[in-house]
Amino acid sequence: MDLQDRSAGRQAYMDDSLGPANTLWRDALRRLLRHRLAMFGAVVLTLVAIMGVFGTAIAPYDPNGMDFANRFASPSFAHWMGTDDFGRDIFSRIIVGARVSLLSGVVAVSVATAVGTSLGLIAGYSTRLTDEVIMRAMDVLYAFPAILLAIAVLAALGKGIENAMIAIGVVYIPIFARIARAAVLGIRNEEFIIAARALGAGNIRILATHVLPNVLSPIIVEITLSLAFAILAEAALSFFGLGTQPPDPSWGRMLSEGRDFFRQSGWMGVFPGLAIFFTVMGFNFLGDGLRDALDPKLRR
Amino acid sequence: MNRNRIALLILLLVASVLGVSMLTSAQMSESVLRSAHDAEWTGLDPHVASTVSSFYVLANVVESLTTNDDNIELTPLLATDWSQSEDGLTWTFNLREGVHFSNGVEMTSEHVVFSMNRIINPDTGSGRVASVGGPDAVWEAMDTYSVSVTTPQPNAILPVLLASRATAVVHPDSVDENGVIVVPIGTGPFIIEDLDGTISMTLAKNENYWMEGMPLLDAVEITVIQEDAAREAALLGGEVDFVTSVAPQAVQALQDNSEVVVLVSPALAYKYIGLNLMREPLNDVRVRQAIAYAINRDDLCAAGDFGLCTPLYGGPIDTGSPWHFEYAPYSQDLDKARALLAEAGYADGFEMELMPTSTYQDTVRQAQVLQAQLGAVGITTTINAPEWAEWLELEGNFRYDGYICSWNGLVDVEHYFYLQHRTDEVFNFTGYSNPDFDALVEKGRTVSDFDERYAIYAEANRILVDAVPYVYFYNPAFVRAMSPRVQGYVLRSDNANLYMNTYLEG
Amino acid sequence: MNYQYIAQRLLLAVIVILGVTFVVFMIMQIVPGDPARVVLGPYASDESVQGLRERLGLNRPFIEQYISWLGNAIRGDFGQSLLNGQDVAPQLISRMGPSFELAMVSLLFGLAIAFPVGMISALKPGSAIDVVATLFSQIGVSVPSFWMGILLIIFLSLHLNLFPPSGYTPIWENVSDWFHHIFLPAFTAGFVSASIQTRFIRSAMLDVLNANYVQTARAKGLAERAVVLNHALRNALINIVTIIGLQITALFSGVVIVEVVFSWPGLGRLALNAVEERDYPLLQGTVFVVAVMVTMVNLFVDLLYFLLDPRIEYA
Repeated sequence: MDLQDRSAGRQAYMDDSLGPANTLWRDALRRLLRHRLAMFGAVVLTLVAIMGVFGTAIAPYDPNGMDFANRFASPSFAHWMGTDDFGRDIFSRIIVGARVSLLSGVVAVSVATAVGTSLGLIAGYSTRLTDEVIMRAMDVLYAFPAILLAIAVLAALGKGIENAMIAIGVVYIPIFARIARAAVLGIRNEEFIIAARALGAGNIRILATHVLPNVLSPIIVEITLSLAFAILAEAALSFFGLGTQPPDPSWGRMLSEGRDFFRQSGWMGVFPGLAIFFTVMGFNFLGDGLRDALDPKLRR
Repeated sequence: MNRNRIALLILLLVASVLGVSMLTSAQMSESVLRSAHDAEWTGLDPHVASTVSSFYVLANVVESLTTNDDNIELTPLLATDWSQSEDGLTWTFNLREGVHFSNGVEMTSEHVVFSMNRIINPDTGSGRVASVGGPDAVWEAMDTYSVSVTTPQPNAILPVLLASRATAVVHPDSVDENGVIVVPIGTGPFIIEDLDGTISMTLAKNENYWMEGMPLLDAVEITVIQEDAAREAALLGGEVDFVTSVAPQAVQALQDNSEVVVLVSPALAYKYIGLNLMREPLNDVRVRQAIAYAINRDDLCAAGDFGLCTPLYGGPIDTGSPWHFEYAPYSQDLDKARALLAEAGYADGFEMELMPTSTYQDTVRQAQVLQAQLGAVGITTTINAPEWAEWLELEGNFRYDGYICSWNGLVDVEHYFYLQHRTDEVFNFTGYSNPDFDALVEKGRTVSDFDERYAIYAEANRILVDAVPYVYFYNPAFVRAMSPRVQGYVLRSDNANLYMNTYLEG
Repeated sequence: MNYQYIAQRLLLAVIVILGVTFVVFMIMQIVPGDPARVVLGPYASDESVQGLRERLGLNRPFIEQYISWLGNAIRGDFGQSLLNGQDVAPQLISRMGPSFELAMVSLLFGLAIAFPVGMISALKPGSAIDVVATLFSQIGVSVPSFWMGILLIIFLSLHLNLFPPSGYTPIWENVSDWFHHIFLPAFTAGFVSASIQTRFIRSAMLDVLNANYVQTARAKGLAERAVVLNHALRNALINIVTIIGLQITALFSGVVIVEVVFSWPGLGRLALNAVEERDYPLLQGTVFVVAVMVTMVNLFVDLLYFLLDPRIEYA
């Protein structure tokens, strides 16, 4: 294994040994279902997903409806989580905001996974020169201040929630590229690959049918963990005013815009903070569970 | 690394935390004010800088020919008196004698001419050319202690315009080889020392200051704390003695706290939305009037400034100013707004974009309220909140429907009308053009009698309010908070942040 | 030690640093927003904007601007800030210290939490203590750092008045004052990094504890304590060095929010201001310094790696 990747990638804590695919997946699923924290994470995420899908349909109030007579109302039966500085119902905004948080995770990580994994596969599987070029480009991207990268992407694509998601995704591309490449390097000289090549399969075919399935497990783990980071990244972008555009709620924007009111109206900080906390935790637990489940060495 | 060493490390950390917590911060020397500003200064070249945060500092370092006193009346500063020629084309200023720059050099007419010419020179890129008489003004030294300025047209209000510290007199050594002023050498009561980027600086007493016994403080240590909660905590915790702003929503609680003194003053400023008259349907005056009728200024004020403001139902000038005009037609009237929209052919409403800036969160709050209010009369809005740098570019190039912003530090009536609304004037970003209005504000510049000027601007105000290139929201208030030890600081309605008369008690 | 390998790594590092500065330069050209307008504010005429652009050298072709920047930077001249005319180099130097200190203290805070928690939970995987430790380590990594920072200010500064919410004292002036000021920002940044480190340490320990040589040691009947300390920990160190390297990197470039919330005079805040104000020379300088630091840390970690694990070969 090349040192560069060990030092820079996040796979230091990941497993790099891969077994035959089929039994691995079945065993993994069984182990996952027995993993208490992972199941807890899955339950939390299911709830969040329901909020995200049904959103406005299950929210008790219009999430953007203002009521100036009722500003800064503390939690009550009418407003379970109180109201904000415009008199908007925080509970409704959290329900509707779930969609943005989930979507930003999914879109961002899809971008990062698709682009990063492809680049990593190519780098790991091609000639030294291509490898160097791709990976040095990844280094450049990685050494970049993330917020600047996000601002640049947003400026190039225009503002808006989708573009903010893509911006977050771009930041994570190098991580996926490194993981994918490292995984490929680990198996490129395995017998089944050499055999496929001997049988005359093209490079793309080999990558798609033989290499990809065998590097999936570290990537799946990284996906769940990155989903967690992407949700936090959405909050960070909101802190700089770069996230979703008002009035549509996102948890990050609720926190960053509400931060001036935390002292006087604590509920404005507590509830969106808890929403982010539980969702991120859900992804992390699921990721941990997947990692344990996909790692044969940790069988216990 | 072994476990014992880690344990030791943890112990050390814990011990130092405990030790440190018990320490009380050392008492400062009594005549040093520790001040926390709310934003980083963006350059200290008085002729180029434009932000309030820069002038919070510069107002203590450089001085202009004239100034406004605490009641915002025009008074002498570096010039002791001034007069206008018969034809109105030439002003003569007699300079104060015995004024020294902080480098010890005596200020004379050549320094004044140098400074004014630097502002006029297009290579400087100053935004204050109009304040020193315009690009064709000719500044001349008459003798050591007097200067004259000649303009192509009569300019009755030049002394008023020169009260801005942006027209300050600086020593030529302030300008470096790149043509930039990094730290100005001025005649003000304080000198900038220990400048650390845009994080901190010390304003040290200028020993050469011309006004006897001034300033009272030996120094002001300035730091920048951007986050509202942190700034408030720094004041309450005694880390600083003075803060340049507190969040409007925290004012009430601080006023009830005997550990803190809060000053609130109505501001010579206004917040508004500028409408793009080059675009449909905003080029129709009925549509603009409909917007003016549709909005509820109390709610805007509540959302943006938490009630610390005076709603504006007509023109931009508050009741406290001598230039207040009674004309105020735009109390909220949704039926009237709908009728005007229908008349203009937009009975079903239309779509427009609101452009606040994410850099100033109060504008984003206002945009959200506007969105709800305009929605009630069928105007569907989207909000685009670019960051400041991008916002400036969009605004400057007419690439917006409606931008949300504010004007600050306006003293004379001229400041409210001429630069913003005269045809093709530099600050006219709405595309408003009306020959009648232009004629009035041009005439207003040449007249010095108050009643005569008042009549002229009352008419200009009426034309402008009816045409609605700007929909005015409200006059905000300025807030400062400080420890009770801080005495003598005056919060002025022009927001000038002067430490000269400030002192510490006890 | 293989000198050719080191030379090769250094060369690559230089290429990466150049790449970063070039990309920054290019991006700043694409991004809308004009530094001259930022300086002059919302009410600037086109003439004054053009005058200032000319004076600042912004009207020259992009490549010319970059090459002249690079040429000067190599000689140690990072130019002047567009916004305030101050030399960039001294500003970078004055921010490097606080950034470095914040990164180091955060790392120490992080390790002080992560080591015990990660080790304990790895030794008893699946136990109640593991679950509690995991939950604890989740907190830092599951909340936005600005949220935690503001809550800390509200509780520890405003209500309890234990730590100042802002400010910086150089360490050589007054150590306890320095620590007093660095505590909240370092704790905020360190807690996030502790959560990540705990996960790394737990997995690294789990890996080695399950490895053959540790099982062999156990089989030989060595006391568990000796197994853990002599075999497992030493081998886990290799991974842990990697993690620390990564964390330092992240702490150098990734604590912008913490610096803003606590008014910490670090490089992250400087870079943020430079971006917001389109202050190209200042941004270039900051990114350059951060890229050099990050690359150096990576290089150092690699070499340390080599020392710790002589089995590694260099291709």
